[in-house]
Amino acid sequence: MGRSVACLIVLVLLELSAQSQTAVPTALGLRSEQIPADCKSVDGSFPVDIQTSILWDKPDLYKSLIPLPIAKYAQSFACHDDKGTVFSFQFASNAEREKAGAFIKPLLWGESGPTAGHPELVLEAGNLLTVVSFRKAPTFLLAALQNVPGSAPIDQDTVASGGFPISGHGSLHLSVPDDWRTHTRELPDPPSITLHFVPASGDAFDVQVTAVCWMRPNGYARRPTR
Amino acid sequence: MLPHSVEKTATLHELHGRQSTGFYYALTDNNPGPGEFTNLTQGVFLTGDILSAFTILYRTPTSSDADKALRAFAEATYTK
Repeated sequence: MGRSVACLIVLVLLELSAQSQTAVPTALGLRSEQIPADCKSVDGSFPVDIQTSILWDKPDLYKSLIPLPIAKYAQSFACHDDKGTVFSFQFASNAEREKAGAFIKPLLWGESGPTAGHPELVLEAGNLLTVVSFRKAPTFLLAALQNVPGSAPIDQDTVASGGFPISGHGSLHLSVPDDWRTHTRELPDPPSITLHFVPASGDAFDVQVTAVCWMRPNGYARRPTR
Repeated sequence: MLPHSVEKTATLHELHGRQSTGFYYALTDNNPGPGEFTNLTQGVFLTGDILSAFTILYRTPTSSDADKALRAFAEATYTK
């Protein structure tokens, strides 16, 4: 009986706005005070393509290929002239998130990375996979999203003051133009993050940064090997 | 990379900001293929506990985007 009611609730809520997802863990999504000043929370769902829409609405379609998320949450924002939705999927473990991510990214993009037709960005940390579904994902929104603490240990030490978190070792803050598209990948070992910046349109430049924690946990610096 | 560059030597330039310090050099491809980037700036910078290595690719000898990236690296900050 309880299960039937829960299923009914989920089905009903799927028809409502993305803001209305059920069983929302507080760790998913941005709290009002975390939303950047240039964005405001709005109703509605704005997937940039059908792949994102299906992934959100019907993740069960892929249950034979990937683990199903244990929770999901969507938040829509209007940032300047663009509207988009941030779809967050929480998995039971880091390993399950990794397995799901390996399938979801090429599913969304059709290639190894975002394209003009499939510009959504995928953020992965701990057991959380987040699809940032914007035509041009605002840098300040990405920075805010990367400070949402996940459930896995990898994110527990993340600071909440903006920037690009480096697994449990603080955050690197870079002031890049808001209209640059940013793709990030965080690695727990060694604690590091790779950043990839490209223009909002065209291919005038390509910036890649690999940032790694230079200090051992006990505080002394690693010496470079020759 | 120098054998494939217009430049015969790589000149190191300093990056320096409130919390960030590092170096970079810029080279020009001497035989770029169709559609390839012609200009490259590479370097490293240390910001608190974080060591970052970067590569900037662009298409003109002077690039405001490359300048913006370098400025962002110089002004990078770190919080624990």
